[in-house]
Amino acid sequence: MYYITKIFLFILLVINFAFSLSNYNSGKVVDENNDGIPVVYIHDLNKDIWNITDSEGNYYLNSSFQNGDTLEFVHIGYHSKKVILNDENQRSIISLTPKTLQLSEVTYTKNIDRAANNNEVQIVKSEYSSNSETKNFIRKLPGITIKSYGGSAGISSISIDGGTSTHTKILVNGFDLTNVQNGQMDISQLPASFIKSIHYITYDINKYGSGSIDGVVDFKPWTNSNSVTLSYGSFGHFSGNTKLNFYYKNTSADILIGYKKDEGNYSYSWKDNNYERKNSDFEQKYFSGRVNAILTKRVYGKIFLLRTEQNRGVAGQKWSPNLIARRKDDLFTSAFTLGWNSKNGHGKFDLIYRNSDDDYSNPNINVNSFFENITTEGKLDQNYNFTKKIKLLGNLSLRNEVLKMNKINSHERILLKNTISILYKPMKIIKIKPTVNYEFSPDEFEKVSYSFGTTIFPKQKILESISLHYANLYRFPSFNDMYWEPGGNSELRTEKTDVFNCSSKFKLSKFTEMDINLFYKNSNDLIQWMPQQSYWQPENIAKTIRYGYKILFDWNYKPLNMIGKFHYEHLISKNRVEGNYYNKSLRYAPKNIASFNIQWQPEKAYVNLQIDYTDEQISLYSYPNDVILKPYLIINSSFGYSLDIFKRSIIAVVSVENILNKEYETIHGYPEPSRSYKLTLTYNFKKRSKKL
Amino acid sequence: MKKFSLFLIVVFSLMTLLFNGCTNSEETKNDDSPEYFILCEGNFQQSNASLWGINEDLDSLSGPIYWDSENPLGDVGQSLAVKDGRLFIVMNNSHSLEIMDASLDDSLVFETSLEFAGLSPRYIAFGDNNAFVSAWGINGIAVIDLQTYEITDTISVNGLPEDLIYKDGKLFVALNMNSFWGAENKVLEISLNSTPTITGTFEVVDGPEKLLLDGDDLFVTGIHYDASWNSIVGISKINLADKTVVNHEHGVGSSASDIIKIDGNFYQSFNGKIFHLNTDLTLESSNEFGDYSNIYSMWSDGEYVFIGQSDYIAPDTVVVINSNGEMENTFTVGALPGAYCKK
Repeated sequence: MYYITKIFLFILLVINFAFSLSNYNSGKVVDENNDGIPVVYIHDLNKDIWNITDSEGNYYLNSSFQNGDTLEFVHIGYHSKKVILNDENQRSIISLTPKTLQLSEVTYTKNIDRAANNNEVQIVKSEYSSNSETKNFIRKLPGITIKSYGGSAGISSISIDGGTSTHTKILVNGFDLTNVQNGQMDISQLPASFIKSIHYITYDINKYGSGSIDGVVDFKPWTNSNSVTLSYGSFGHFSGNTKLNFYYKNTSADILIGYKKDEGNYSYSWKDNNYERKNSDFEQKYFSGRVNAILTKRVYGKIFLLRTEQNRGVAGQKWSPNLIARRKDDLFTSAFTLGWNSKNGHGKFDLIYRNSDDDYSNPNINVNSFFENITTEGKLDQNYNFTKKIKLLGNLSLRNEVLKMNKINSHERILLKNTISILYKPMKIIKIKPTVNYEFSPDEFEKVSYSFGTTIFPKQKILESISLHYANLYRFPSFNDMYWEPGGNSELRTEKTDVFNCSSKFKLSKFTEMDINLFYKNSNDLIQWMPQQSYWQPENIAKTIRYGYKILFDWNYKPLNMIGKFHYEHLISKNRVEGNYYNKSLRYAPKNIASFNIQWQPEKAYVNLQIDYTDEQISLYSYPNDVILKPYLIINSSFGYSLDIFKRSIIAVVSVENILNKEYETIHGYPEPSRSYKLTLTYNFKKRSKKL
Repeated sequence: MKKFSLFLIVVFSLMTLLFNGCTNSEETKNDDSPEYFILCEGNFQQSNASLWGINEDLDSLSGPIYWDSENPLGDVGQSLAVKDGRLFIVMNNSHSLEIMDASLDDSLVFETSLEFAGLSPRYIAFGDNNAFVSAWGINGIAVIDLQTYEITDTISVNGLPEDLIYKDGKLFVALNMNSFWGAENKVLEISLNSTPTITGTFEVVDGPEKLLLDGDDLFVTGIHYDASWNSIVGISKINLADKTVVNHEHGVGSSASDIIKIDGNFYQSFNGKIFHLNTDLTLESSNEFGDYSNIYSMWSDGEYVFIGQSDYIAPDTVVVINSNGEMENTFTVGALPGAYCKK
């Protein structure tokens, strides 16, 4: 602890001379089709500093970019645009006009959370909530449930629309970090301070290939920042991190170093008695770095690194506590991107390496297992504008996946994937996009999938757009499905799902917007583990149907600097396997999910209130009654204040999680923490220049 | 008049008491009151174990008794037994001993729950004043005082003990696995003097599980796994008088096997079916007891045979047959009916 504090102080002193930060402008740069434009050069003409958009066209500007500065958005093939930064165009969408088109003065501003693309929902952390727990933050997304083995130490995964976690593709900074062993991603491996925003892509996701059946969730990393954050709280919580940002000519670099420790030991009850959940401690060390460089006018390069190390207790179920089981796991990923722009499009090549270790020991049952996952991928993306109306989007990737089990056995497979989409815009009010995807693994799998979508922009006062989309999506069996000992089944087939989506966006008033999404998902050949003579084995026997709707309201009342969000999902899920439970709701598929969030930032203060509701869920089909997870309503709140000292800012945030002190579980038998408090202090190295 | 009224009240009260008393005595035996108990193990880590009762006439099922999904019995109901009017239910993965008063004729009343965190209890046997609970969590036997319900002693067996039988001051314990969770092949004889001592070790088939005592013969079922995780089923017979052991392996079968004695004959469940057990411990394949499949458990009180059939997903089925192999009744119960006892 003392050691960590010393490190932070040292870093603070050494680099205090530098940089900027803390206040964010964010937005998206789009083309005439409302598609994000990657790698748009955003040049602050006053400060001569710059930034670039990410692969989806999103950008985040730190407080070095100040009100009154003139920003120039530059991208080859488009007319540059100059925008004077002010409060009005924070969180804005910047539209660039292709050079082949007549120049117009159209620039419009919308809430960033309302993405330009119909199939995307984004949530962005404010500087006051940069350290908020990922589990709480992600609940702001519609239709998403978290499955956690309890507390900070519990492995956590994401499910969408009542599907399994293996049907949600998890990206980090645009890179697929799926664990090839189980087809999931443990989001507890991602530090809270690492995450700046989450992008949830609901459909038009064929290009992401196997495992993206229910959607894609992309965790975007922190933005260029110079700060030190310390946090103390209940259940022995301590965390600290520092973020540094460097500029040198056309190169910028960002570094994040952090540490987190939770003692756990929160209370829970089982059969009318109260207990303390022991062996639920969690320790995390992490480092991340990014380098972005504009190499020439047309070429850029990026480097991304992330390493996290976790040491955690495995507390077991509440009725079967385990005091000695431990898990040590780490995640390392590195990626190199070389991108280019031309008059007729843009492209990039990514080289990605992912390595994770999982070392689990449970002396109670004499288990000491070690698994290592290694994934190497080369990926080529190219967009080409044939005409004003037709754009070709191509994607080619070669991926090698390796699983080493207990340092004895290893399994390996190669996956080749090719996706081609045509974006056709015959009229200004309509957009059509067919996609074909082919993925192939020698001697194992081969799958052609396709999708077709159309979006209409009726140019009505209220209805902004309406989209219809169909896709057949799939998932290849994971290494566990195929090779787990005992029971792995190498004869498994690919899981298949047909997905229909209808999505519409409305602008109800100057401050209020609404999205409605209807969906229908029909899944076949789903993998289910079944008992054999002496062990369990996976088979392609499960079938499901899911349908429902999601409603999102965004309310952004600028006069009071107040933002409100509400989403609700109603889900009907049906088990279609013949037998006693035919047509029953699926396990872990809540019928109703709702979330309400309001943020108010009067001057230097900050108030946040979040209310999340998840309906009851079946955790197991049983007789005479199913095993049910009770519904839960969780309220979290935080209060912040920004204090300027010697032209630097210190932000203090007090947060209270689970205010009602509800005992709840997201996986049967694994209680989540009771009410907790946390104090977070963030020191920004450079003076604050404008209000939020 | 006042005295007369008082007299009437007294007479009326006495008559009421007498009438009620008679009524009670006539209602002491409810036809549906449980005579046999079935413990459904439930699915591992789901806490959906359940207790069921069947009446003496074998025509009425009650349950789940006392516990339900709002107030769960626990995780992995491993075994149960009755001692002096009390029903003891051993909950393996919720680490408890649930005790009910079964002495009343028409009802079963929850008495207490003994929590043994980390003990992983498996089976229970009774001495005069003590209960002996095999416990994987301590590689030994927990000795529980039946008056105070406290653990008074533990007996280390250096392995994972399974079924146990008490006889004449001695405890016979099937040692299912060694302390490293590898297959073991021993039945221990423990003398329960002031200091419990292992006084005998019998080498039996690998993975000894269930015990059945018949005079001086102690039958031991065994299941162990080969390198491909196939379960190998076997049986042993220990003659406690001359200390001789006969072992026999039947071969690859399902991972559940029980032994019963009915009408002087022994039967063993193997690979989902029930076979007559020959004196040389081979199975008489031509002599199946009934025609049942997916057999997960089997038990007999000497008069009837209870067969639990399971596909590992609730609901499951318990079939009761008589000594002639004729079916008496079929009952639908919770997941994995695995243990039985008579009141």
